[in-house]
Amino acid sequence: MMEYPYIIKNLKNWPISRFYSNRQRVVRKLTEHAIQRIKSEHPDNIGSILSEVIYAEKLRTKANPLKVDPPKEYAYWKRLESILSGGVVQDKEAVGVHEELLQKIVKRYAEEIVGDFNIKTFGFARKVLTHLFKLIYNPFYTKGQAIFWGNRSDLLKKFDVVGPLDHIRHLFDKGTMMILPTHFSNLDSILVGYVIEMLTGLPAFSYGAGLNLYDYEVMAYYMSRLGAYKIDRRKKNPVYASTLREFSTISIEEGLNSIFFSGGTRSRSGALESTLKLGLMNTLIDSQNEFYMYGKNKKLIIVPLVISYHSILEASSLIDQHLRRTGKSSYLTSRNKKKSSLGKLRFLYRLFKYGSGTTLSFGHPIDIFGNRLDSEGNSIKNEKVIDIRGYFEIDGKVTKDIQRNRVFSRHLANALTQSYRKENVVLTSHLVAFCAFEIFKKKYPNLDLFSLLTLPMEYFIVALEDFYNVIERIQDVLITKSQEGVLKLSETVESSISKFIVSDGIRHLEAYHNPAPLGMKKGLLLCNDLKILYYYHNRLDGYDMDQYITVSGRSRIKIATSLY
Amino acid sequence: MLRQKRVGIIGAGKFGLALANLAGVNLPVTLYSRRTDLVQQVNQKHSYRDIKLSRNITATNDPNELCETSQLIFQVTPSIHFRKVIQLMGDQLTPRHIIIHGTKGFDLWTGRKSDEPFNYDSLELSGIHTMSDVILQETDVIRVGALCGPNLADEILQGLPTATVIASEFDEVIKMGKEAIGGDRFFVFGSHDIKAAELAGALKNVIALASGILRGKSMGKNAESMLIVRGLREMMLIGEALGSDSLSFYGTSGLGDLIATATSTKSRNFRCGMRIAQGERIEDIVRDSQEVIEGIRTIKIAYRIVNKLRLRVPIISTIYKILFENKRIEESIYELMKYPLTSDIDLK
Repeated sequence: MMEYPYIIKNLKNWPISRFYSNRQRVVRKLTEHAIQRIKSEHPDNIGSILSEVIYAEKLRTKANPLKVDPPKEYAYWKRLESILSGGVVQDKEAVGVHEELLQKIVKRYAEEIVGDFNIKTFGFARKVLTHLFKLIYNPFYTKGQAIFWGNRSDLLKKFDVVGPLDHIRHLFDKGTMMILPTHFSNLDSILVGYVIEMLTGLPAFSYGAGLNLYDYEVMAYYMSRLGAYKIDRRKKNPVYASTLREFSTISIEEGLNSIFFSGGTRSRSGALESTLKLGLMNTLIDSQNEFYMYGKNKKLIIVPLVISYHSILEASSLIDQHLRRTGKSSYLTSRNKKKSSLGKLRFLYRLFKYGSGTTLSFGHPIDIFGNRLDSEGNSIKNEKVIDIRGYFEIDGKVTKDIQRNRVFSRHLANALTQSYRKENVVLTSHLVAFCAFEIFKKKYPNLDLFSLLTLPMEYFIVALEDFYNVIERIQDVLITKSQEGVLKLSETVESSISKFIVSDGIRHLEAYHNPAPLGMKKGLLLCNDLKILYYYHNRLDGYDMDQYITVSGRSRIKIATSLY
Repeated sequence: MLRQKRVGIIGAGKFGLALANLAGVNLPVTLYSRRTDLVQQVNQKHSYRDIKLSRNITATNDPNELCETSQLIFQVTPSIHFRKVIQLMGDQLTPRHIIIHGTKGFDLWTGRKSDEPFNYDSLELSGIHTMSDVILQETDVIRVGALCGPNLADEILQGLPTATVIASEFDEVIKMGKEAIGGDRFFVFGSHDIKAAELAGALKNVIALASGILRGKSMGKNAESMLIVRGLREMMLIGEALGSDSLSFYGTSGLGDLIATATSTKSRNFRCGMRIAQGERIEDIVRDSQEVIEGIRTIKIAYRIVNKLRLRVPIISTIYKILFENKRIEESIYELMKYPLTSDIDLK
């Protein structure tokens, strides 16, 4: 894809640059606003909230420490505990102590959450990222070039960016732009930030990165200079949650273009997000409501984004978590087979030989009610321009009604999940995994998922000829669906013959997985890891395509022990 | 800009006039009707067809006037005309408006042209809509509500006490609705389950037809109450299958409305059932009736829904066969009594 020029040439004028021009100002504002928010959310029980926070933090520091955590954290929280419990007799004094502790804790969280952006180091950090991605995305792609000296444009070819980019670029200065992507991998935040800025020419976006990523010092150094703010998913206490939410509110209010992962966390099952984080939706709706209430005409521009990887490094642990959560006692975890040295070498060879490709599919920009935006940022509904301010009005005045906004949040979540399904780009790996898993499932119609997962791999084979036929049939269905706008297809899925689709899909699936989830031998398709296959299969779940897959007599119950 | 707080009402049937009178106690009302004679009479005589109307009511046949003067609008038009009427309002309905409808029936919309004959046999579930669906599809309005309950228009007009439910996802819709029509003789409950309220409101008309038939055949109170209880269970089954919370059917908008409609001779649907029992033809009953009998249209749709969803609802199926397949009433009652069913409603 072509690289677009920057729409704002001077980096000093980027919203992120302006936002972080004085980091301490942001920390102070966040501390102040978060304290107000916490007090209004818990007017009568600040004391018990503080004790809950301190208790949870003491547990966290013991149970789940990270290198990036401040030194002597346990002692710090212990000290706060003694201040909270010690020597307070009068109610009046208690209020003072609570104020002081709340201030301390919120400031500590604010200092941690708020990121930074430095133009000088930004350019350098971006170059380092380019090298990092070259490592991940197939350094051997350009023959004869060593890992760090590969061609940048060859790397960028690895990213397929689709969607109304010109429209999105044109809309950038018509409001505050929020990109809401799906979330599959730890790599997402850095990758999306990098690709958007490199390829689309939009100013760098602010995004939240898990604190665990900062455990790697080099990573921490660059992340903090790329405008990322920190999210610590271990901290689930109400004071941290409110501070983090307030940071989103402040950044939206100040016009900072941001990336928010609408599912909150990575999809464990491999399926597209169907339930989104309503807290984030609430922040978006409330912000738009307040803009109108305080007479600002600013509009939030929501851009849905679906990220599609051929394969994902953490797929194995993600699907394991999903199955453990949904199956409970029915899910019998098996110890992974010990890999031979030769197996490990093969895996490394494949990883470097094939690498992986990624598609970023942008949806049409929408307002917070899911209405499309025209080139001027007007909301379009029923083919005409509407003024969404009216949705917040009662008797001619914009009012804030929390319950109303919560309903709007649910509507926005629905609009986004629908958009994700439409923008989902089917890659060969997804198609191959979907068809193979459905065939294997239909071979044993009496077994539920968890029983199916306990069968030895020898039970999962199918004649390649049959498999090609199934791929062709589903390819036809997918082409019809893509013409109807139900989903999108990669070029290979749309126009290749089934044989190529299968070999391409298998090749990509095995890039990050050892053993390779699927293999071909003596005219048969073999399965080596049904769980992984299930994970990638889920990406196409919910499009009613399983009905087109039938298992012929020939493919039914055949055990291929000799092949393993 | 809305200059003065008013309540708008679309539809000047008996129920529309009853609502206008209730709202007229609290706020000025703009009543919309396409009929110029009605508009004139209401504005000049403050009455229509022997119904005395509040002086707070102003009638108009201009959609602009209605939409400009009122943020809150009640629409109470028969289901068969509901979509057309709201289309008439066109662009006048904007995001600032709030619409509460009081129509108990379904809309069929399959994208066909209006002059093409409708074939019920080819009806898909995706072509069946509740009235709130229609509002969301046809207008820019999001804040919608449904008015359901034991609200026989005649009794409301006589000033007899009753209650209703305003069902909406939005608290502010319920609150504004209450402020507009609530009063010392009209108690307003709120509910967030709009789908259940709309389904209950539509389906109870079918049970009212059945109950009217039993009354017409003088089958006694035991049979009528049995029919109401089992009919409610069938309504709940359909509601559950269409994704609503069946518990809501036990409330004012479900059981409350069902008892009123399925026992009172003031109910059009109940009276229609009685006349069917006396051997009259449906076409004649429809022709004689001054107002739309929603149950007749609803049963055609309900029958398709239960067939599509493969639900076991003997009462609804039997009524359909009596009405449209000339099945004999006595034979039907005998079959229902022999129906293999042993457990009562499971309240869990």
